[in-house]
Amino acid sequence: MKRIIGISALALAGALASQPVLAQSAPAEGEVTIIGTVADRCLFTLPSKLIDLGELSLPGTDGNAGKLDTGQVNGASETLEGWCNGTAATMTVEAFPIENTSFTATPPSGFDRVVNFTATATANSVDGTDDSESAGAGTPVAVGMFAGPIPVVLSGASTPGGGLLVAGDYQGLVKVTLTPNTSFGQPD
Amino acid sequence: MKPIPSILALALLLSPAQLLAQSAGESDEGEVQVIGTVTPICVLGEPSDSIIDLGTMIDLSGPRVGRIASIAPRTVTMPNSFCNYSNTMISINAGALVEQGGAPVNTGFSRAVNYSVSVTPWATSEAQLQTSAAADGSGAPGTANSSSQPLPQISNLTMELSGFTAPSDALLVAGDYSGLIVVTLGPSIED
Repeated sequence: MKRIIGISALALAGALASQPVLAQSAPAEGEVTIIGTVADRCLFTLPSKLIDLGELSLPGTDGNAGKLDTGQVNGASETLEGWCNGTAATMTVEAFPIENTSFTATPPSGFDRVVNFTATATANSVDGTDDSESAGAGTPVAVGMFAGPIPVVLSGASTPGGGLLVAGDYQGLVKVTLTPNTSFGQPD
Repeated sequence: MKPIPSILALALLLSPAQLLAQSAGESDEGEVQVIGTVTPICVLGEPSDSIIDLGTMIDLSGPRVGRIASIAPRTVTMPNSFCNYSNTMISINAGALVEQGGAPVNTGFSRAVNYSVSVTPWATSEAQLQTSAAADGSGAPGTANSSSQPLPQISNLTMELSGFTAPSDALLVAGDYSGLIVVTLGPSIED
């Protein structure tokens, strides 16, 4: 009996000793990886403005009467607002001439129906420009990540022939395009 | 510390649709519209002379003594006259040269000198006028219009006075003579 008890006691001790050994050798860990993305993006929060230049021709009766009053155009400005959330965002400016919308025929000699100008848009202290006389947009400029005002200023106004402006209503346009960094994820 | 997956590992976890959305990126466009106006105007260039002095208008000797002399045409230029819009015309309003004393005249005498005046070039049919005062100076000033100029026009206008005559070629009463010519550049009355 005594032996039997001894064996039982040994077996019990062995069972007790084996439990701490198992808990220390195999800890279990699970992981949940959380991912997300923010797309490169640019947005105009104030996408449209109007500059009313008023009377474009010089008053009076002297030799310059009826010709372009450059003071009405140069320095005129309006401010758009927008943002880009990528560091490699670019801005492009495209200026379209101020043209007579009520007289669309070729003007007689000595007259002009077009006013050309240079448009400068500034975003994040970087200037983008375009001259309306040359077709197409200006050179893209890197503006990076920014949020805020984008002033658009007109300058360098002129007419093709330096002539008299044909009477009528005139209209032009400055188009500003903000383009985000599109290199990420692009196929090689 | 939790392991930070590399960019490459993250890219591998993204679906093709997610990649496409990122690569497209959203650009945006803002516009500043620019408008202005040019008011329709006509401007007559500064006349080379505002007064035309014909001097003595009669022959002081010879077979036509006391009658109107041969007076050379006179011209006045108005350079860089223009209208910056379509359908315009020149209008002339002119009266004869009339002796300003106003006293009645006896038969055989005249206190008026008529003349022809034109202002050119402006349109297909130019403005031209012949004054027609009577010997006593009566008669309203006449008016003549050019045809309509269909386009904006700039022109070095010339006004010419010619054909100075006295009614019935009568003797001219002594005195100071004057007349007035008004040239107007403006919209065509055909509009």
